[in-house]
Amino acid sequence: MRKYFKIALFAFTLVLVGISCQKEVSSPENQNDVFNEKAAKEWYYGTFKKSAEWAASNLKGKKLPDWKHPVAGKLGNYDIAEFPLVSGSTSFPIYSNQANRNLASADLSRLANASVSKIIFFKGKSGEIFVREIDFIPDWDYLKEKKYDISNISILNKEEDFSGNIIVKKWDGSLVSSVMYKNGHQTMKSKLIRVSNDGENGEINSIETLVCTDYQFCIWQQDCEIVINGDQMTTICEEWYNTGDCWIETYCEEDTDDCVLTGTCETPGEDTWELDQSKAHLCGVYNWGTIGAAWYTKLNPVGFSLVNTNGEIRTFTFWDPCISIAKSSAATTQQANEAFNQAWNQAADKVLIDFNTSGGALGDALVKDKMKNYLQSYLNINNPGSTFNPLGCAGNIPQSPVSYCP
Amino acid sequence: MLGISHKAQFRIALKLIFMKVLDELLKKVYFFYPIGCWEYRKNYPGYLQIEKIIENKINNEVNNPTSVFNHFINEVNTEIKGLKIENRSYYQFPNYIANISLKEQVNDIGILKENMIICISLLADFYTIFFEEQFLIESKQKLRIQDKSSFHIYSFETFLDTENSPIVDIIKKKIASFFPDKKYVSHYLIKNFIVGGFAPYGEEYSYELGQVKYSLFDFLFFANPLIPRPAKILL
Repeated sequence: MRKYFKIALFAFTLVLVGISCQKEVSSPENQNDVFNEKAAKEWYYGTFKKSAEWAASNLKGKKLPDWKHPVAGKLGNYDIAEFPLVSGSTSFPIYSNQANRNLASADLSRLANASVSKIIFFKGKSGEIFVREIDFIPDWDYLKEKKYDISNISILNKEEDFSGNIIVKKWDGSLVSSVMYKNGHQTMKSKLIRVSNDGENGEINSIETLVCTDYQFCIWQQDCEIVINGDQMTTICEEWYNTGDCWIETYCEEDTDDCVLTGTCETPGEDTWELDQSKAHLCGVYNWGTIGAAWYTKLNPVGFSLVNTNGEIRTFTFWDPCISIAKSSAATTQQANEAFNQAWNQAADKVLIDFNTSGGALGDALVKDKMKNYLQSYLNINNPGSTFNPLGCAGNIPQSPVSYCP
Repeated sequence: MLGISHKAQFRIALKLIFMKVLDELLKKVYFFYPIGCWEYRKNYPGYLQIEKIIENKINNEVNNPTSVFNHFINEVNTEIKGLKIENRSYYQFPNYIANISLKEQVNDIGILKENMIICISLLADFYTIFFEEQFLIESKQKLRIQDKSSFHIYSFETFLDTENSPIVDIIKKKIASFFPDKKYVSHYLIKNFIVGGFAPYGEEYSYELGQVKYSLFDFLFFANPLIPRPAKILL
């Protein structure tokens, strides 16, 4: 039972990553229709090919779902139809430092050759249809274990032990997410920070308190001649080669929220949660005591509530948490008040985004853990030394009331 | 030891010493924490004792200018002129901890900070010294309420720093004089020794949160809430 749960979770995570909260072309269809491989194909030719989204890809007409090898199924709230993606030019970012060594060029070529590119179509609750391309790039040990063949991998099948990199892109090629997996579990997510070999920085989207590792990637590419005739195609491919397009990319262990990566925070077809204005943001004045180089207070029970469009309420409470603000960050008690209130309010905003991204599926412990981590992070902006301890204070620490403000 | 080189003998001796230290520390973990039984913590004498130790530290030591650790800080401060030392023993953890700021470099991307951390456990007869590096980069926070520019910790690593070993020697001598019962233990050794089935004081243990890994260091010296675990450790 636990195994199947893990499988479903793994796959569902992929879908959520893929959705990335953004509304695109995706014309609404009848919500109650079954969305399967046949419906996906009809939608592709009937609607999608005529859309601006289809035209936006440089590879339009040069890439096509392999309609003959579909996989269809349901994941969470979504009907999914998945196909291998065949393209005139296939490329994968591959990093060479794996399995405790620098892989030789022949091995890298083998990794690229075994990597799998899929396209999925899925229908959200509201009937909108989304398109995502998913690259499965195995790590060397995993590929070896699978006898150098992962062609059956799918977000819908039972490949729960996948190890490697899963890259989700939109039809136009723009990156949605890049996530490292180990034995079917997400371990690291790209912060989309790229530093080219000459040291020039790429885009920086979101930085938090993270443990990060840098990987050097190079694009390996294979060029193919594809003759497409309707939905029939023939391909003749050349050897894989390193394009020389290399960069260093940072992967971090902590989850990022996809909203930050995509710049939007709406989840299609899901109920939206908001902060309950009467119990979310703080504006109190606290009774601070001094202990060494820090201000200290123990708060009365404090928390925040989320409400959704159906009127449901979720409340998360910390009982008597302990707060210390380093005096190097706040010279006066007034500044300590401001520092804590601001950090709390920012953290609550971030948790709300995560909660909506998850479709309201986060449990109490996870929400509180996220709140604690964000709060720690915001409390220590610019200057470390402040803490938020949800388990309370030991010692003579003054107690403080809590005030909420809209 | 016939047939074994001096080098091999030295390695074996070193391993035995390490094992003895690890054994001693592990016994302390089991004494203070009901490993494997999170729900029982509030009835576990050792766990309740941790709270008492922190209470004692907070009430009697940290605010008292004549306390042993404050004396120690003052003396170290005198010897390492020019470097900023901060007493962080106000943390709700059974330790004495101080932070010596070694370097702060500002460049176009962000700020690189290098610190030396002195950490004396109040749960075991050991102390450790290590170096940490924080790289803070400016980021735009995309929040609903406001966009905020700020510096966040981007990476956090510990490392070996031979360049600053003279300071380490000074601190070791001072600790020997102020805390004669405390022995030095390598941070690398204890940070890499993982103990499962429980969480250090101040942290919560929950199946929902997954298998967060904690080390001997986290349990006995300092579970720094700012560092995601397992932290990246370089040597």
